[in-house]
Amino acid sequence: MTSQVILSTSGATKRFGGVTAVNNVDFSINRGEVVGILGPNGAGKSSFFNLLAGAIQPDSGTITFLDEDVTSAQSHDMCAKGLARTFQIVRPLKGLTVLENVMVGAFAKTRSVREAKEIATSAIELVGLAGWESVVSSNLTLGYRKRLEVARALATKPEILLLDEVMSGLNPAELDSFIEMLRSVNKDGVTLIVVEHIVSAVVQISTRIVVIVQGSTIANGTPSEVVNNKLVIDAYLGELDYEVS
Amino acid sequence: MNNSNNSTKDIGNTFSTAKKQVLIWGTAVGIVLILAFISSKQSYFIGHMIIMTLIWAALASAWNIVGGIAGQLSLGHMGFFGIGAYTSTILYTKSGISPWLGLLVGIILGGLIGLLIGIPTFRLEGSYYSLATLALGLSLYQLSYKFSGVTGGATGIPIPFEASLKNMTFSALWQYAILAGGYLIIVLAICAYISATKLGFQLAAVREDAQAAQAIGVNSMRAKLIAGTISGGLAAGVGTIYAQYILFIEPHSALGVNIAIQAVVLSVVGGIGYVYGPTLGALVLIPISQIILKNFGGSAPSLHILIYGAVVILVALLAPKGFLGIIRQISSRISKRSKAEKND
Amino acid sequence: MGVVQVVISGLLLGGIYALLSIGVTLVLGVVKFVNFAQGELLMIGMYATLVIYTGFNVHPYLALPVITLMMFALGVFLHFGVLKWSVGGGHYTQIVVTLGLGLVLQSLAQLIFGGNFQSLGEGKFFDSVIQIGQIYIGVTRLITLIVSAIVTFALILILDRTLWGKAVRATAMDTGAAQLMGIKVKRIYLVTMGIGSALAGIAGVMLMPIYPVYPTIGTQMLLIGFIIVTLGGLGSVVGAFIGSLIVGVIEALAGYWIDSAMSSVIVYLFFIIILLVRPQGIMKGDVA
Repeated sequence: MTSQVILSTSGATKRFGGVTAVNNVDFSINRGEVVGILGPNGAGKSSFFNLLAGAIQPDSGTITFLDEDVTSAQSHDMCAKGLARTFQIVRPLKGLTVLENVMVGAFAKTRSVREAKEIATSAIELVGLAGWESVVSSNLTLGYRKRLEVARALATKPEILLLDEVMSGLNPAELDSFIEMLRSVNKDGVTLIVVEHIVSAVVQISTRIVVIVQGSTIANGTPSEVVNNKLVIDAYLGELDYEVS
Repeated sequence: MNNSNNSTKDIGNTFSTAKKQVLIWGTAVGIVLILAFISSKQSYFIGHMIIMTLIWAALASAWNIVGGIAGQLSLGHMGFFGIGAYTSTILYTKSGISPWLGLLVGIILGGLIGLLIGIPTFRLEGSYYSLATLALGLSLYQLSYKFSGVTGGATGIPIPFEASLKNMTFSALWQYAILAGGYLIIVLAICAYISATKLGFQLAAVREDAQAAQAIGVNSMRAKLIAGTISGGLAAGVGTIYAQYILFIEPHSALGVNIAIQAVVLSVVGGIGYVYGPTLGALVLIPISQIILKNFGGSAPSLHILIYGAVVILVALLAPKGFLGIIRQISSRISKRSKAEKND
Repeated sequence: MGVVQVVISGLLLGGIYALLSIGVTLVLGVVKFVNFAQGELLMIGMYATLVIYTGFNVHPYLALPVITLMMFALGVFLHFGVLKWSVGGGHYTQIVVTLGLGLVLQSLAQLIFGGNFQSLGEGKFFDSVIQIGQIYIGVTRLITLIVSAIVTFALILILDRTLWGKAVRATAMDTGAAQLMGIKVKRIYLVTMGIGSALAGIAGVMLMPIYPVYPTIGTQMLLIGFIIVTLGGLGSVVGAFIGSLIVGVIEALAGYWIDSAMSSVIVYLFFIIILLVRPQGIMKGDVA
C-alpha cells in the first residue's frame, strides 16, 4: 500500500468567542489508513472534525485534500471532491426504503438511475445490509440505521469517510459486527477517520490514533503506543487495562 | 414483518422494462379512447363530466409535481391555470393566434412565474411558500378585474365557436375528451419520468428531510425550483384547454381560489406524491361533485365544497397516503399472504 | 391634508387586523400550529353578531362577551375533536386539515346564510363619525382600534405577569422542558386554541358594524393575518399589533396613491419583499 497523504492540516486553528477549540493542529492521514480521534468531551475533537468536513472554516492554518487547498471549501464542495461524512444523530430519509436512501447518495456522482442502483446495491452489501433493500428505513433499528448512514455516505463514492461518533448507542454485539463492517469498508479502499468516545472500539479498529485534549494533539501513534502514553493516561484515560491486539 | 412497508416515493417501475412501459401507456391511451367513446354516445351531462374529470385530473397532477413529489404546498395554482387560460384566449380573440401556440406561450409563462415565486420562498420553511403562492393567485385574480381592458374584467371574454383542429375548438364532446385526456397522459408521463429518475429521488429526499438531503449532496433549492417551474407550466396548459372547452372565461372560473383548493383536495384524497394519486382523486370526487352540482346546484351551491372539506380532513388525519396508499397497502398485504401460503 | 387622513384610516384598519393576527401568532408561537381556518373563525364571529343583532336586537358590543365565550368554546371543541390530531404532524398536514375545516365552515355558512353580502344595515351609530380638525374618524373603527389595543395590552400583561402566562411562554419556548417542569402542555394547547378562536370572534364582532360578511371573507383575511404575523415576528403579540398598524397604513396608502382595487395586491407585494429582506420579522424572540 503506497503511503500517500490524502488529507492534512497545517496549523489549523479555530476560535469560538474566547475559547480556542482547535489550537494550531498539524494532522495528516495516508490513503488506506484508519485514524481514530479520541479526546474528552469539549476537547475540540468535534470542532476539528467539522473543520476537516468543511462544515466550519479555520481562523488560521490550512487544510489540504488530495493536494488541493480546501481551507475555504464548504461541506457540499467537499462531498463533490470525495470527502463524505456521517452525522452523530442519524438522519435516515424515513419514508424511503434502504435502497432509495442510498440511491440518493449515489446521485451525487451520477445521473443514471441504473448506475445509481448498482452503486447503491454494492454499498448496501458492503455495510452488511444486503436483503434489506426494500425495507422502509423508519422500520430499521438504530444499529441498522447507522449502517444505512454509512452506506449512503459510501454511495457518494468518497476517497475518505469521516465518521462522527457513529458507534454510540450500539450494544456490545452490534458494536463488534459494526467494527467488522468498517474493516471491510476500509479494505475496499476507503480511508477512514473515526471520531469516537468508545476507546475500546477505536483501539480495535484504528491503524493510528490521535488524541486531542483542549484543542491540541497530545499523542499521535499506534494504538498500543497511545494507550501506554503517560500524557494520555493522565489527561484522559486514567487507569488502563486495554489490550491491544 | 411490519405494518407499513410502503415507500412514500413512487418509483413507478414504469421504466424498468420496455414491455411494461408499452403496456401501461397503451392502457392509458385505450382508457382515454373509451372515455371519448362513452362521451360521444351518452348524454351531454356524462360527456361533460368525463371531460371535467380529465381536466381537473390534469391540473391536480401538475400541482402534484410541486405539491406532492417536491412536498411544497402551493395554494396558488389557480394563478397558473388562469395565466394559461387568459394568455391563449387573449392571443386568440385579439390577434387570431392559434390556441395551440397560445398553449405553448401560456406554458412558458406559467413556468416562468412558477420559477420566480420559488426563488424568494423555497429557502424558507414550507408555510411561506403556501402563503406566497396564495398571495400570487389572489393578486392575479384581483389584477384581472383591474386590467379589464385586456381581460374583459367581470364580464369576461367569450371565445368564438369556429370548430377546427387549428382553433382547438371542436363540435363533439368526444373530441374534447381526447384533447383533455391526451394532455392528462402527457402530464402523467412527465410525472412518472420525474418520479423514476434522479430528480424524483432528490425531491423525495428533500421532502423527507431537507437538511439531511443537503448533506448527501442534494441541491434542494435547485430541485425545488425545477419542480416549481414544471408544475406551473403544465398547470397553465390545463387552463388553455379549459378555456377552449367552455369557450368563456372570467375571473371567478379561471382564477378563483377554489380551483387551487380543488387541486390540493384531489391530490390529497387520491394519494399525494404518487403519480396516479391525483387522477384517482379526480375519478372519485369530480363525478360526485358534478352530480351534486347538477341536482343541488340551485338550492345548495356549495354542498360539494362541504364534502371536499370533510373528506380531506378524514384522509389527511386517518389515511395520509390517500386512497392510492390504502390500495397499495391492501395489495401488498395480499401478496405477502399469498407468498406465505405458497411457502406452507 | 389628504395623506394624514389616509394614514389615520390605515391605523384604524390596522386595529381591525390586529385582533385576527394576534390570534394567529399566539397559536403559531405556543402550539406551533398553522391554522388556515382562522379566517373562517372570523367569519363565524361576524355571522354570530349578525344573527344576534337581527334576531334578538342586541347591539354587537353588548353581545361581545357572549360571542367571545362561544367562540372560545368553539375553538376548544374544534381542537379537541379534530385539530389536535395534527398538532405534531408538521405544518403541511396542519395546513391541509385546517383548509379542509375552513371549507366545511365556509360551505355551511353558505348553506345557512346564502352567498350574499350581508351587513347590519343602516343605523345612526354604525355610520357615525367624529371630526377632529380636518380628520374624519369612524366611531366603530375607533372603538375597534381601542378594543384591540386593550386586548393586546391585556394579553401581554397576562403572559408576562401571571403564572399561567408564564406557563404559556415556557411551553412556547421549549415544550419538552415545560412538560418536565410539570406544566400540562396539552391543556395549554387547548386553552390557547380557544383563545385564538375567541380573538377571531372578537375581531368578527368588531368588524361586523364596519364591513359586510359573506362566506368567503375568510380567505383574504387569513392571508393578511399571516402576512402581519410574518412582519411582526412569529409568536410575538407586540409584533402582531405593530405589524397590523403598519400593514393597515400600507394598504390605505396604496389605495390612496394607486387604486383601491390594488391595495391588497400592494400588501401582497410587500409580503414578498419581507420574505426577501427580513423573513424573521421585526420582533425577535418569544411569545409576548
